[in-house]
Amino acid sequence: MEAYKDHSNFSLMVKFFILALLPVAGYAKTPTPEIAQSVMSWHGPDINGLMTGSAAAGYSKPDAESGSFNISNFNPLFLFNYKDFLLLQSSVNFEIDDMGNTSVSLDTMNLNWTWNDYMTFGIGKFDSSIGKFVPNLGPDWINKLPSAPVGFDGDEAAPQSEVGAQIRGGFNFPYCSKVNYVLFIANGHIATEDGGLVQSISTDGYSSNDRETFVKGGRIGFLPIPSLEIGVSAAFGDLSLYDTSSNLLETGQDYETIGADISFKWNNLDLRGEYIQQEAEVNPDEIVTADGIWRAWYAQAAYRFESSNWEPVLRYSDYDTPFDSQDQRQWAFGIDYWLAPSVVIKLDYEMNEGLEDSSNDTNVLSALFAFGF
Amino acid sequence: MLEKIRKPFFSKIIGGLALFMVHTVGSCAVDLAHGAELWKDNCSRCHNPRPSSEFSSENWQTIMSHMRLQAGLTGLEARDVLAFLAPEYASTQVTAESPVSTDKKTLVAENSSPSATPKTANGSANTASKLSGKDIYNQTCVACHGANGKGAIPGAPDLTQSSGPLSQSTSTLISHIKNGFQKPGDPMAMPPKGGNSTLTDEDIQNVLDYIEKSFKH
Repeated sequence: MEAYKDHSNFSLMVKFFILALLPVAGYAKTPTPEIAQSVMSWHGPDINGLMTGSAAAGYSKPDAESGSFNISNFNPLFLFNYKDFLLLQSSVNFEIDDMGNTSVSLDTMNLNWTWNDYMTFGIGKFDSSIGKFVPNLGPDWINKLPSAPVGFDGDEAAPQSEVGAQIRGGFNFPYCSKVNYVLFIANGHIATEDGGLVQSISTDGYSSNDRETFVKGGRIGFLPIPSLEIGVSAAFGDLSLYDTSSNLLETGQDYETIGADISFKWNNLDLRGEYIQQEAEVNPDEIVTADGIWRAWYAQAAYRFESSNWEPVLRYSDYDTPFDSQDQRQWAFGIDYWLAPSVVIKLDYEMNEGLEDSSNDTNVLSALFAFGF
Repeated sequence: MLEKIRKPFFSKIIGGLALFMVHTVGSCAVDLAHGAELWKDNCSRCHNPRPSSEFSSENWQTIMSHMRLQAGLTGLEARDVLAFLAPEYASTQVTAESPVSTDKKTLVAENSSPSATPKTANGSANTASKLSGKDIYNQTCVACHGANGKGAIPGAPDLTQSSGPLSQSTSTLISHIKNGFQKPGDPMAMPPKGGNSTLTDEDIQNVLDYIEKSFKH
């Protein structure tokens, strides 16, 4: 079995890179005058770049507790091109914690080499391709509510990032207006064991990889009409299992994550929903005895009033885990006021249901001022 | 069950992509009207479409490289959207007359063919002054204002309202089309010439005549 897995990994990696080299081989031929001219079509200096991203500041008040200005995020996204074939993307997150200390994290950093109109190769740390919320809807000026749906934040059900390599792109199909895709291979995920149970599965990519426990996966999005996108995503691999003191216990337990997402835009009505789950599939042994599944889903509707800056938002989300203390269900009622296409003031009230008397069971009023720059 | 589908799933995807890569041949012409449609459809799938006035043409080049990855656009689609958002870019791009492999991108630099112009929705070179007001509307304006004039994206005004934009004088409307316009307090700005820098004064008059005839009550 182990030999088969090794062969499978090797075979997949060989296919990945042979496929990757196909279009490169085409470019490697002596450039024709037309190809040489295409390079000249790049405008401005060879290296061109900018800092974009988002920033948000806000206030929140849990029921029966004092409110505070406790939301301050600054997420610059650095983009640099070398002509039209190389793109460096790196996003950094600055955040102030409860004690006023600033934390900094490198959320993503990847180099992307455009091979042709349909495929780009990327390597580095990138947003997880599982689902739609994490890779596309997370920035504060894009998310229509001040918070992520329950289960979709870091260290919950939705993978946030991977460290590895990917190919991605899109193409048009007959009878289907568009297909987009991402395929990746990345360092394996880490789970923590305590008392014979899987306590958590990492959602961020690691730059280490115990015994080549790679994870392979991707997402395909189908757009039968331009306003409707249906996406399916999955990733599989092996887990590295650690104890709570960060000692490696074993590798080889199965890891899998699956997701499905849908979005539909009809005039000013925006509907979307998503399901995601991350699972440690355990072959019981002396270390762990049972599977651990973290799953979450949400459904959201938003309507921008005609010729108005107001947009009410309604969202239901549900987060289900092996532990009652983590489970949560939430209704969120929000109203957005758009000052510009990427400048918004958001106000929402979140009705939470979780373990009694825990923070997961406390309703919260939030206000957020967000700017996508 | 997922274990059983794992290997064939990826093999089929990779095999299909490989076949697709080998056989794909397409057009490489920049298409402003298609760019406007793509801008509206793809941007609004996740966020409000951002007007061209927010960034310089050079910055739009880099941003479109990023958005191509985020939205799963093809290279041609990204170039079409860029042509719409960055008129400076569009005005210096020309179309290839014969279909070639899209990865050859035979977009020729400005100095090699200064008279050439971007491709239009009907596939011909954009000799805009020969187009009717309806043609121009359907190429350049329809993405935001909609086929019925009531607005296709958040922030676009309803042209059919009696007290709406068409209640203003012809000279004001010509100026707004020509130079771009943003209503105070409105989050969305209309770019100069609707983003199509090739429009002539005659085109602008023609398209305004069509708009007034079709939507003014």
